[in-house]
Amino acid sequence: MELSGLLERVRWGDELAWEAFVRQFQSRIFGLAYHYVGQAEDARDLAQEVFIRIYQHLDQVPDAEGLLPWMLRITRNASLDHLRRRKARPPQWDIPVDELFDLGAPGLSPEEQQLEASRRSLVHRALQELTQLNREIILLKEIQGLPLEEIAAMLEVPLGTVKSRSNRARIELAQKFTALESAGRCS
Amino acid sequence: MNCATFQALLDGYQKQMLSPEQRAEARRHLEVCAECRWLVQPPPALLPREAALELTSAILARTAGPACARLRDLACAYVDGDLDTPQASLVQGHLEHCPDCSALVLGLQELDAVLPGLALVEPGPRFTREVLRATSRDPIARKHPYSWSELREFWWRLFRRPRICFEAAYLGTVAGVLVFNLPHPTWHAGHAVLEVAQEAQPGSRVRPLLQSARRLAVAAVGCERRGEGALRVTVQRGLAVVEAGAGRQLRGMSALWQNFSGEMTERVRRLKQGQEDPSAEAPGPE
Repeated sequence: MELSGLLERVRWGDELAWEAFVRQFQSRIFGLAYHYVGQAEDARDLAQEVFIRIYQHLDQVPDAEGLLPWMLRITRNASLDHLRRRKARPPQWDIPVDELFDLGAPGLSPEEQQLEASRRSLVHRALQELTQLNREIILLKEIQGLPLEEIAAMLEVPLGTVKSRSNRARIELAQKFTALESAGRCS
Repeated sequence: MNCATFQALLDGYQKQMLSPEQRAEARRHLEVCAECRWLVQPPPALLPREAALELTSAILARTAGPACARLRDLACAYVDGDLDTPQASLVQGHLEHCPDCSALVLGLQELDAVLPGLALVEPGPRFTREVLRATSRDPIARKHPYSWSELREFWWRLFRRPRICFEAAYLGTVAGVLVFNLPHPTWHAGHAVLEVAQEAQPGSRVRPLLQSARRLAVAAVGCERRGEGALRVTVQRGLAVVEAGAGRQLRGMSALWQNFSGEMTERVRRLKQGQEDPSAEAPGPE
């Protein structure tokens, strides 16, 4: 079913549509929260909180085109609030590989999942070493695929800053990623 | 075959486009001519690869400096395929000789493959059930399927059809002409007169005024339509007197009519003689 039709049914109060809506977006919401807070359990609580908030304010849900940026903005705000409450600005990225393995995408063989989990773990660690702004730009642009304008509005920085930072953040991440990779190979 | 003939055929020889006879002759010539052999097989590089790289680095260090910074500016565009062909070949050339930049580009390519996959992370099998349990305590107020937004959407869809749109515009225009072209004050006054007359019980003392009041209201509307502005103003003033009288709950209606009748006669006479300015203010209720 198309997203606009699904949204309309959710607004009518169709519980099945709401369930389909939750299933459709839970991975993405949880994924963003997880990248922000760095702990699966906290991210699950945050994602639940986000869905409950959406449910309680269905009249404010935008149309299909604006839905994803709106949900990601709510998730980001909730994650930052959580981090502030935890009084630890940088999230703890030191996530055991086996936890990532559990969270890995289905459909891969165990060896591929192991390899994928290992690469993800390296990317997480490389992300940890970026500045907060660069990390957020990578999260929102490269991972979530939001347009630059949305990111600028969300981060409340000029569009030019996001543009110039975007490539710099990618280069920085690639440098840290290759450094971690070669260090892993050496050890 | 002499050297001039061989050099004329050199391109064809290298592309293997000569006939078997020409090729055999060319080979025979190469066996005896060192100069032409040099043309076909250039001598080995004068510098070994490492020494060549070192020399390049030394020259760059004393001139423009290493090009790695420039490559970092272009690396993302190169990985995204946004560079034009000449620029991309220059980047490719640098990458062949610079292991650091080559590793950086490989890292960028690997990140491009990994990062989008990080958007979706499965929260676990219990997550959906927990969200549904948390939200089922507060069921959504079920709206009627034909909600306001749906009706609005239906009308918008309807108005996108040209015929409906033209018909609606036509009806709207007619309604606008009818509504906004009516002389409101006169209508209001005429309506008030008719109301007074209709409220009167049969046989009461205002009953005789009924026909006159109706005629007056019709005349006012007629004046408005014919554009007889001056007469309309006069009639309106007369009607204002009657309207003011309606507020007195029909008390002294006969005297009021006589007063009104006299007033109207006098004003029409003045108007005809040109003694009254139609734009002057209407008198207050008597």
